[in-house]
Amino acid sequence: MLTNAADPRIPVTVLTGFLGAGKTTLLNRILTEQHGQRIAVIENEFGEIGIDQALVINAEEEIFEMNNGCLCCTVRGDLIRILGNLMKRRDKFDRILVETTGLADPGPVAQTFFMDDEMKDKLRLDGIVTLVDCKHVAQHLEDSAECREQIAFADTLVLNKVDLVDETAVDMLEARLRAMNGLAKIQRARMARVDLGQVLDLGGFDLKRALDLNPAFLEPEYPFEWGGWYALPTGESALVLEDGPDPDMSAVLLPVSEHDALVTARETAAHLFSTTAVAAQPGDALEPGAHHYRLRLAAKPGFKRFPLRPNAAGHVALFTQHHPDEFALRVLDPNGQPLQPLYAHAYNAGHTHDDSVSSVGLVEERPVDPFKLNRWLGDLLRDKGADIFRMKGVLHLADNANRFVFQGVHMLFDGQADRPWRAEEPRLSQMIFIGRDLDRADLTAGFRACLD
Amino acid sequence: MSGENTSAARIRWAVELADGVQDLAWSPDGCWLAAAAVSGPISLIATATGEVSREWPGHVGGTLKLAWSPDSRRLASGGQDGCARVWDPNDDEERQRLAAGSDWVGGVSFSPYAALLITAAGKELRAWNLDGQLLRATQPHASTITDLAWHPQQPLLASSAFGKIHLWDWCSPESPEERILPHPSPLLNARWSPNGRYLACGCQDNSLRCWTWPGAGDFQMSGYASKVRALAWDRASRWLATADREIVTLWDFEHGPPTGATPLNIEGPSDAVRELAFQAVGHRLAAGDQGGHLLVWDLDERGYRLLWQGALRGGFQRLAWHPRDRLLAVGGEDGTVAVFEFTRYPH
Repeated sequence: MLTNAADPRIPVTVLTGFLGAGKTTLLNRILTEQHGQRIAVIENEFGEIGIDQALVINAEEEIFEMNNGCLCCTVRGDLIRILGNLMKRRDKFDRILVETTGLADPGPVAQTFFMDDEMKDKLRLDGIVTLVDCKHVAQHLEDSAECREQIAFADTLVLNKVDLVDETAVDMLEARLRAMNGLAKIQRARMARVDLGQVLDLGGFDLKRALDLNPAFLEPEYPFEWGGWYALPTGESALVLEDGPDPDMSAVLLPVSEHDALVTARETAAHLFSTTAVAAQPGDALEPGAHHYRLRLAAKPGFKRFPLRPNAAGHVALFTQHHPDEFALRVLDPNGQPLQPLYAHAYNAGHTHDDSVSSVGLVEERPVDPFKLNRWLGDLLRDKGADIFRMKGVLHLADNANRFVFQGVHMLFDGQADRPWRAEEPRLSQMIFIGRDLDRADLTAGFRACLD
Repeated sequence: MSGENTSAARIRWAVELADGVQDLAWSPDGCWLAAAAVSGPISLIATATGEVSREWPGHVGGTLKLAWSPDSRRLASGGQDGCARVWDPNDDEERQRLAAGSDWVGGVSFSPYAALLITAAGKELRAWNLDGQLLRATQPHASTITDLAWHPQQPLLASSAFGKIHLWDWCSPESPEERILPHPSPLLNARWSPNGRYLACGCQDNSLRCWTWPGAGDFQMSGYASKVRALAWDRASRWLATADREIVTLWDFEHGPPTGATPLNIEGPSDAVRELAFQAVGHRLAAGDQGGHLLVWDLDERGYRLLWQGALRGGFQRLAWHPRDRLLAVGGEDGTVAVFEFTRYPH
């Protein structure tokens, strides 16, 4: 079940996460559960692993810069040496687990499996699993570039210790992490108790999963993450929020007609978001119209209320910079009862919390010209490779009956012909980029120019 | 094991190790071949008969490296247990166990001139006398030591690592003089030319670096398709053979450093070459690839000529020419150790 019959290379799972996120607990769980696999573990921090059936090797992270003019080309020298030795043994392992230190940038370890030809011949990077400590991750996201990169690189995010925070906070966290990494499977866990099938064997380029999870992935970017259409009754309704990840948030409230609801309004709102904001303290009234409000949420800790002007009665569209879940945002009617939006939509936001890490997904129906694609990717990665953390794709190449799948880390990528397209399957070319300061319009135009 | 052109070579003997071959070392007197399996055991094999004379347990976790003393009376081994061990061909028990450091002991080397055994464990270099007493522990290198190479004529040891070559002058074993040649690449191996004029290093970042000696001017050859994993000098110090995953390249040093010159690319290997070895006597170059192909070329003034090719189940790990005879020892991924005997030139 846990092997990929088409690829004889031994799968490698990389386990990252800040100190205290539960890496050792998860490792022990993986090693003790009955899965019938022989696992070798390369550990970077002295954990408390003492399992006889596994080989545990302690390694000291040794990062080699490649001195080829590319600052992001780095590999883990210690892994090349240790894994090279393991691969010589007659007694092979079914799987290798590499645990990184809490403060590690996952780039070098991932690149090792693309950059070193011996590693590439014998091993395949199956997936990067990042454990997140729900209670402390918000602080780490603010303070640490490594923490943001661990989120961005992940194929699976395990939101651990969900029992230590309330469910709303986990929902808000999940929305925030999803905006940074649109590709990862997200699992919630207590004591690192997760379904191992969701952690191991991540191989396969399941872009459909990413698209199902986040349909906004393929849409144009808006400066807001969410829009809702409300019918406000007569009287004073109110916008109420709790504390969230940011001290303030932009919002626009527009009167709309019953017919086009969010469609026209979202373009107006996108324009308003670029205008100078009016600061609004909790308690200040918000008026539907051509205003870009900057809600000063930090001005009052805890519950905050912004009354909506009585003349707001009627249909309004509310656009918020962040997803309502992140701030437990609701609209209350004059009796204090929550109002459900008639319609709501999550948008693909250009920027989230100034994390600047985001995902861009591209889909095209026409086949791709492999030569043009190669040239485009070559140029793109040469110029922007340092900011593109990960890249995955399933491509429909012109005159080719097989799917072509590839994945990349920074400037390196590795692709191969996959199974033939099925008769009933739409032949789409799909790519996903996860990185820092990605320009969707630029990536879209570049990819379109590669079509046959 | 099979061979073509069998008029040029035959198998003298073959032995199966318990695991893949990690290292091979001929004793300088030519009487023994020592072979280490990756999981640990070390076999001492008689050159004449192929009989396994002793089997030492080697190192817990695995043996990494073998080295003979110049007088052929001691074999040193380094392993994953942080120890160097010293063995006597006349004894089943180990003679010495040296605490080389806390990391894998990837380097062991006897000095050809002074009575020294050097061990490299991770970043730590230590020097021992032949009684197993620690003479000197140097300051740790900035990164893991990847290779040790003694200068052929002087008590000068090169140790390669990421970003540096350290040159140690062991004229005075208690306080060797250290000189550092900085280089920004991860250096994987180090080989002196037999005339002592050049030190060549293959790099992880797809290049080859050489230094001239004395003087330590350096020059670089780039354009490799992968890391430069194999290096070998011919005994005349004219040819430096190198291999990346795609091609075997010969650099001609007859008129000094071959900077700007086009190397000779040898056609032949169908898979990634793991190891290259020049004959200690004669002009033959052997290459073993990971698909199990073994090729032997003759080199002369006019260039190279394929002399013989054979195959092994599984890939090659190590090749070693006998110090005097026309014998080539090969070690495979599947645990095969075989010695080929080459006849005189077929023409």
